[in-house]
Amino acid sequence: MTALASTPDLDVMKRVNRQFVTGVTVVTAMDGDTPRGLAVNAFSSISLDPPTVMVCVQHTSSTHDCLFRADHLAINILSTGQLDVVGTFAAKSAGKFADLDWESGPFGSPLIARSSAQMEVRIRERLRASTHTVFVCRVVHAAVTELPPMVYSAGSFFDGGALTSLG
Amino acid sequence: MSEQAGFTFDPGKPVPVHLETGEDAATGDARVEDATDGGARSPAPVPRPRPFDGEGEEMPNTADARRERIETAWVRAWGKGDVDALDGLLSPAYLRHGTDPHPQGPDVLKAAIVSTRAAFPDLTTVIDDIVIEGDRAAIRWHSSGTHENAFLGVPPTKRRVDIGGATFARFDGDLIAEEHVTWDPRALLVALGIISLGQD
Repeated sequence: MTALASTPDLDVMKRVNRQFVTGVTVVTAMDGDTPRGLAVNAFSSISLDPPTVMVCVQHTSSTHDCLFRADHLAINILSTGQLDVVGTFAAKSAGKFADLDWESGPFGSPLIARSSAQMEVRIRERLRASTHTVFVCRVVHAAVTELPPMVYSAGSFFDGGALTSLG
Repeated sequence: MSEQAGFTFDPGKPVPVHLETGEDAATGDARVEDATDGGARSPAPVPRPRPFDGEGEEMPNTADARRERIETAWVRAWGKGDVDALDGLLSPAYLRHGTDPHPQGPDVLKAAIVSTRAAFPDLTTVIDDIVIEGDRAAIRWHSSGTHENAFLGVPPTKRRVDIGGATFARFDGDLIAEEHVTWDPRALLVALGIISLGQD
């Protein structure tokens, strides 16, 4: 195992991060009348009761600034059938929603069809942390399906329904 | 800057060079009061506050003069954006002690007022209390405004915010030499639920 000094080498940190397996979410919000969104794997549940979650969004994202105006956002947990969706939202393009099947949630945020699970949340705190903002959110709407979740590991996507159990 | 350049109703406004050259206090007081009254009222019936020369107890009208100087400068600086009005209130050596470990000089305060007013264009500030005792002044205030433009790097939230605070000032003669404040501009963001984590 590589030992670390007080400031780890960036390449080491990248390799460290690649050892952590996550799901894939698309965070969406309405910017006035325009839907916006980006692919995010920096999502975590904070507490179950009250249902509180967080997502981290880089300042340079085209969705970032509208999340300061919006009261709500949606977190779409992608399923194995949504490689096309993750491709769309990982890019910096306009018109990400043009060919997308989505509908408005109870509070207006875009909920993407075929997702494994969906939440709409009210944004509470916005924690500014150098390159990113952490959005701490209260869940106000949740829906879940049987569709297996997409898994992200070291830059590749995997089938969350076909994982091998360790025991 | 254009607002300052076009600021003309006030020919007698003291400028720092006057104050630094040891202009006497009574003249300084008169100038600020003239500026306050503009042409709207006759200055004649208003007794000129005179500073008390000696050590010890301040004369009551000195307290009134200080109160009025604070109100005038705050209204012009925070209310109208004429931050140079603070030159008639703050010593050139003024230091402001707040949440930042390094005290700030007058220019930093002026810049903070300008940027706050730019981000919250409808900002209104109300002085709730001014308590003067000896060479000290305690000022309690509250402000409201809408976060319309980027502020301290934070995108506009378009939300309205109400905050308040208190300032404790120490006069050295006619001018405030030092203030301890309970507020810094980040408090506006904290009131909006925006928290800046520790900076490197």
